[in-house]
Amino acid sequence: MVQQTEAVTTLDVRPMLAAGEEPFDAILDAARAVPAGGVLEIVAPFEPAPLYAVLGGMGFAHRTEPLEGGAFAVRFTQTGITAAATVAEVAERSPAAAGIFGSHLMDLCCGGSLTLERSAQAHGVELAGLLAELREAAAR
Amino acid sequence: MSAYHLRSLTGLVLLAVALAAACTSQPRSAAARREEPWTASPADVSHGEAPVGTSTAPAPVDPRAPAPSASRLVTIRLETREAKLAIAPGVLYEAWTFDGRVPGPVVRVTEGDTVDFTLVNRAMMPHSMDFHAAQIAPSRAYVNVMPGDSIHYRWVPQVPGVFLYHCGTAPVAMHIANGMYGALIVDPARPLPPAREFVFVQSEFYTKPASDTAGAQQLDWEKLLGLAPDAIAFNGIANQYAEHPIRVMAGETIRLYVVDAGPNRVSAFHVVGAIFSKVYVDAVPAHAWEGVQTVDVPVGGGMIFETHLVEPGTYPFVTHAFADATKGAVGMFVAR
Ligand SMILES: [Cu+2]
Repeated sequence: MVQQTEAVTTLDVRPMLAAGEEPFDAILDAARAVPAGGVLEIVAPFEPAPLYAVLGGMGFAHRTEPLEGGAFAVRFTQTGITAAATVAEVAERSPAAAGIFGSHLMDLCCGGSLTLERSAQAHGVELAGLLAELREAAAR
Repeated sequence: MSAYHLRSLTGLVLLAVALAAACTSQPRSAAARREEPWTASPADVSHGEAPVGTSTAPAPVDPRAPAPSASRLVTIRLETREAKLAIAPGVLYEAWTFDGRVPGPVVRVTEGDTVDFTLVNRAMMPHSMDFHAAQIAPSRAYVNVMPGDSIHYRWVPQVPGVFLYHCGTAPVAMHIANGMYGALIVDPARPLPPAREFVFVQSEFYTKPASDTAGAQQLDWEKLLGLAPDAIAFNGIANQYAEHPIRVMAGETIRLYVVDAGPNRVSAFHVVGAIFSKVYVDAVPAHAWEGVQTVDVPVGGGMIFETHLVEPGTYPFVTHAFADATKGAVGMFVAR
C-alpha cells in the first residue's frame, strides 16, 4: 500500500478501510516521516477532509483531486509552516511569504523572531487564514 | 536544496522591502484586519440577577426529558449527516450530526431493555457510534461506517444512569467538536420518584469562518488543540435557556440529567440559589450524594441532579467555571 518515489510517498488507505481498519495512525506515521518539501499522497474512498486540519497543523498544504469511481487523491506537501514557526524561518523557507506578510502589513519589528501565532495576534491577523495562505503559496 | 536557499535570500530581501513602510505601526487598513470574531453576549449571572430573557417562546432545543421506554425492545435508528446549525443567535456552524441535530436526539431506555440499534451514514466521510452505556467490544460495535453504509446490532443496557454517546472515529476530538454526541438515559428497573425532568448536554465550539459558506463558521482545529473555545453551550446553542428561561414551579422536585460531551472542558455544574438534594454519580441510585452545591461532570461523563427552588424567582444554572459560563454555558429557571 505504501509506495515511495523520489519525493512522493503514496498511501492508499482503501484496502485498510475495506478490511475494517482505522488508517488514521498509519497516515500520521507516514506524515511524520515526510521531509521538508516532500509530498505525501493519500488515496481514500471519500474526501479525507479531517486530514486537512490535522496535517495542516503539522505544516502540510493540500491539493485535492477527485478520481474516477468516487475516490479522492490528496497531495499533502510539507511546507514546515506551523503556528510555532517564526516569521524569519517562514520568510527564509518560502519566497512568496514576503508578499503575504506585506499584504497583511505584518512587520519584522523583532527581527522576525516572533512565532506566526504571536505575530498574527500582534497585528490583528486571523491565524488560520494566514497559515493556509502561507502554506498554499509555499507548496506552489 | 541549493535553489531553495537562493530563493530564500531573495525572499528575505523582498520581505525587508515590503515591510519597510509598515514597520512604524501605522493604522492598518480594514482589509488587512481580521474580520471581527462573533461573540456570545456575556451574561452576568453571578448574583442570580442576570438580565433574563423575556421570551415566552420555547428555546430552540426542548430541554425536557423524553418519556421512559414503554417497550422492552427499543429500536434506535440514527443517521449521520452534515448540517448547518445555529450554535448561538445568528451564528451558523457547519456541523457533523446524528440526525441533523446537535446534540443528537436524547435516547431513553430502561435497565434490561434490548436496544436494537442501526446507524446509517449519510455523511461524506466515515463515522461511528460509541455508547458509553453499553458494555460491548468496541472492535465489533464501534467500528467505522463508510459513507452510504450502515451497521446494526443489539445490546442490553445493564447499568442505570445518564450516559454520553458520541462518534468515535479518529480524530475523535474533531468528530465530537463538530457536534457528534448526545445523551442516553438508562432508567433503573425500579423507577426514580416522579419529578420535572430536563436534559442538558454541555459542549464547546471552536470556530473560524467557513471556507465554502459565507457567514458560516467551521471547526478551528488549532483552537481545539489550544483549548480555546469560542462558545460553550447547553444543548448546542450558547445562552439559549438564558434567552428562553425554563419555567418550573417553586417547591417541586426538579431532576436534571447532565452530560458533558466536551471535547475538553469539565462542567462544574451548579444551580444558583439551590443545593442539590441528591446527586447520582453516573448514576447508580445506591450511591447518591446528598446536600451538594457544585459537582464536576467530567468530560465523557454524566450525573443526575435533584433539587427544588424554594420560592418564586429566577435561578441561573451554570458551569461554575465562569469563563465558560460567560461563553454561553448558562441558563435560567423561572420558578412561579
Ligand atoms: Cu464522526
